[in-house]
Amino acid sequence: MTAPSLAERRRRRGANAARTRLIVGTARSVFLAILSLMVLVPIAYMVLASFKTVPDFFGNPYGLPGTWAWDNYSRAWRDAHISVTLPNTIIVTAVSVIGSTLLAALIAYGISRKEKPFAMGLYTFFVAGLLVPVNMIVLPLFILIKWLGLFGTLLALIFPYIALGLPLGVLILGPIAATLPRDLISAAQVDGATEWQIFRRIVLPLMKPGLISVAILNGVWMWNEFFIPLIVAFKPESQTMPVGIVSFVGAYSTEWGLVFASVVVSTAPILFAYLLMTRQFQSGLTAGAVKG
Amino acid sequence: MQFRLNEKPRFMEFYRAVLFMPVIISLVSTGFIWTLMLSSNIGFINPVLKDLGLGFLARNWLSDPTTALPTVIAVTAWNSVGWAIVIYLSGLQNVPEELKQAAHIDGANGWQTFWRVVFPQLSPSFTALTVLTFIGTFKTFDLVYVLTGPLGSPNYRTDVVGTLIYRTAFGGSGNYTDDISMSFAIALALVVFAFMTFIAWALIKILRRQEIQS
Repeated sequence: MTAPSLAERRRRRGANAARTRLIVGTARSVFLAILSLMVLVPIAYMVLASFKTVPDFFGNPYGLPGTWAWDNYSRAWRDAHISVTLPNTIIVTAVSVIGSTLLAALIAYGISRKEKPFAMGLYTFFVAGLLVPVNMIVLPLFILIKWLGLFGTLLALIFPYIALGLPLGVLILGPIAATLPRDLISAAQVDGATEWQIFRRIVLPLMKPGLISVAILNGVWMWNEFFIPLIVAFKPESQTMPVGIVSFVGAYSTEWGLVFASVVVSTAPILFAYLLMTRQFQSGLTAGAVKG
Repeated sequence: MQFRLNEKPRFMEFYRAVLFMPVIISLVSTGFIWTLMLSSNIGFINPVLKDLGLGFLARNWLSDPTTALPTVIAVTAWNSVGWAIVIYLSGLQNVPEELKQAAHIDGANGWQTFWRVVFPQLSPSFTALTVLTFIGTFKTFDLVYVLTGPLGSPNYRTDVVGTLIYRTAFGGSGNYTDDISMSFAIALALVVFAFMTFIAWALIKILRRQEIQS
């Protein structure tokens, strides 16, 4: 029995390593594919469900719809009150996102122009808001909104949303504002620009990536929020989509087609925005965690 | 899992995008999607199990007392795992390539390289994720409300502090009753908040000590 030559051994080891790499690579792909299916199948199923008729749900649980019930959507628009809740959600989210992003930018810029100990104190004050869980403040909020007489109006949501959007906004924009080029601002002052002009023409454009992060971060939770509107926007005329769907289910629990048409209408816009700006969403939504 | 997504750029962008998707879907939509998937008569999971010849595994996932809470937990994980993946991925970008090469030269296999060399480098991400997930999950309300109702059925098996506080303030029906139960609910929320803050603080203390010094 002759021992295999050194070259032979090396060749074999190389082949072994290649085989191991192939197996590991395949296992990895299969694992990732299964995980992706676990995400995609329920989402696809939700879309299919929105086109099914009630008998279809029972007769044909996981196939394609027998007849595509497009009128689920028009019926949901009317009967599940999407005609009210969708505009409400759009208005509340848009106003609150713009309001809290601009306000956070103003605060961050203002802090950056103050003297150090005072600025640090203010920054800590705003960021400390992150420690306060929504569950804790929502009941006092209910009392406050009741006292202000805002039940049934969208302001009952817009005011709290703007306030709750500030801590993360200041957390993200604060460091960006602190690194703004001072020379540029001084130069503008020398040229006779007003504070407001400096903010609009110089500060806001320089903060743009941060502003986008803040807008995404706040926009997603404001669009999706359920607990706050359940407590302070319970009246039908001020409901947003998540609460609207839940209360529709409470009233007509068997109309699954309409329920899922509503779920698709509430999910599609944000999913679409995500697919257009995948990277910005991912970095925006994890920005708070990575920094904090 | 995170280690892998960082390596190959071709499909990874796709997987990354897909796995993050549930994070931006609202908890209410997630709740309805899984109510449907798990439903006993119109669902997806049970008919598939039956057709695969695994009918004995089929059950009424959300109303069986033994599976109700694990099911709610699994759905919560479905909604948030992509978030953790992306946070780990941004941590992985800071792991120096030389460290991995050094481990390879020293004869470590992939598994050893990951657990002994790469994972310790991720410990700050691990700490942040553990604490934030703890705080986030402690506040769970939406999913339980949609999946098993404000009473945390069956028989309070899935009741959480969020639903308890809600019920105390508004009763099971969701209608404002009186100032006394409202005050009681606010007191309850304060106690829960104090408890949560303490645990989060302790978690940060313990986990920070485990982090490698860099």
